[in-house]
Amino acid sequence: MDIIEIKNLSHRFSDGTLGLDQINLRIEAGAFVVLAGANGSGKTTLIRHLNGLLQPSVGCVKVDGVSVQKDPMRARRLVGMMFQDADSQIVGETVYADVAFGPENLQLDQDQIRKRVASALKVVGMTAFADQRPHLLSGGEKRRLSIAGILVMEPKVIVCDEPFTSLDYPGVRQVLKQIVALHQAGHTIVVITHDLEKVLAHCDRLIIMQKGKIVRDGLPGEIVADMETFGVRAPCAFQLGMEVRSWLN
Amino acid sequence: MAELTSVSFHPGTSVLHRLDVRFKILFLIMISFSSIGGGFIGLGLLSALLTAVILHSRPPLKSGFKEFRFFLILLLLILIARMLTTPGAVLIEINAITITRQGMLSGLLICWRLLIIAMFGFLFLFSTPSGQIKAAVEWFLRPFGFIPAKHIATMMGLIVRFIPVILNQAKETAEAQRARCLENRKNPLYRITRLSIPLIRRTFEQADRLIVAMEARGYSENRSDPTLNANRIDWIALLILIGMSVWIMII
Repeated sequence: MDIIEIKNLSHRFSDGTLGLDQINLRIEAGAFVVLAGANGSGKTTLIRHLNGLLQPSVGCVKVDGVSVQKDPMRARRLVGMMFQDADSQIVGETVYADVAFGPENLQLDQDQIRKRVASALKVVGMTAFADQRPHLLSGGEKRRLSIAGILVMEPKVIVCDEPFTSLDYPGVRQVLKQIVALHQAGHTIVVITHDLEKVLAHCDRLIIMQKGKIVRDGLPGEIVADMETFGVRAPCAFQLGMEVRSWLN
Repeated sequence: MAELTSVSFHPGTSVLHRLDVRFKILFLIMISFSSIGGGFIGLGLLSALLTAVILHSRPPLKSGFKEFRFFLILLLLILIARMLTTPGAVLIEINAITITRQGMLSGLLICWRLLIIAMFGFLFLFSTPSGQIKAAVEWFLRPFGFIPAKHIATMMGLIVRFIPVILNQAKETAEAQRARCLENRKNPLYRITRLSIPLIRRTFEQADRLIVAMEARGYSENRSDPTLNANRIDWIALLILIGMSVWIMII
């Protein structure tokens, strides 16, 4: 079953620039998809249509069979989004308050909020951080906090926009481990990155975008050979004729 | 690890942290009025209360004073202006400049009042999450049907949320400019212009990113606010504050 259906989607910005050009895309529930492309290729613009942060100029986006335009709040609950800049995603003054932000918006009662927050913090291993100020966390911990803030909404799809930016090696491993665990728990994962080295070993589908269009879509092994044509560096292991290995091993 | 501005909420377990936010707002109003109406003895009493609260709740005073340095300069200017312009018994006279005793006393009184109000405001922000402030504002405005309480409360909550963001941006921008030897330029107008333009731009960009992130998590005016509970300690504190305010106003 397709959890995401995008039909003939185009998006034109207010200055007239064409951000997306007739995108057609279906993502199966439980898939692990990597969306790659050079800067300005339209990756972020595309994923912002998945929960109604941007509205299509033409076309339609459906999440779990329902149009995002018709019910954006449902789409925001089903599609959790982790942004590139973890700091600007932090809303609460404590880790607990930040994770509770989403359920408060769903107008849940305080008991339910407490339960959900405790469960989400446990999943990302941050229960002990509940009373800390989020801005004082390390880069990897901030990303895990973002994941907890998404999980607490009980989404089906988790979209990560450049989740490894400015993280050190342990930070990358922490976040990657979390993303892989979420995929194994049954979530559909969409990771946006132009740094395929870190995530390619775990994905089952690779999509490459260029100038607002999907130019390649398929198994990573089939596409990786000509991805440099589209401004995406092929993983080092591939260039050396080796298998791309997981960063978690 | 980020260094955070001290003018923001710091989690804690002090009495100040445990007080109901509605009472804290009332206390802030009462202290402000008593401070404005009080003389030196009243201000002394309020300062003693301030010291006790600071010693108990332990806010980051050192970095707090660093954030307040421009406010302290403003107080100094007020004091100088008062000393030079208030007529009265001459204390010091150098050429055409005359400092009067009355001017000095009235300047000190005004500065002391403003400092007390600012410090209690700092303690309020230090001990209260913005979500609670929003909930309290909404609670206070609820009886006035014609006022859009939720709208105003949301705006106030966001403003409080944004104070540390803006101060952090200012600090980062100033550091980046110092790294490029801005201090060699002695013209303050040039320095303020160079600081304020990128600061305003970055603040708007940051606000934009924050809004998108909040929207992605389903933010709206209608949300579950924190539960506000008045306890015995709030009522005891209210009685003490009322007694103190009345006494200050009388003397």
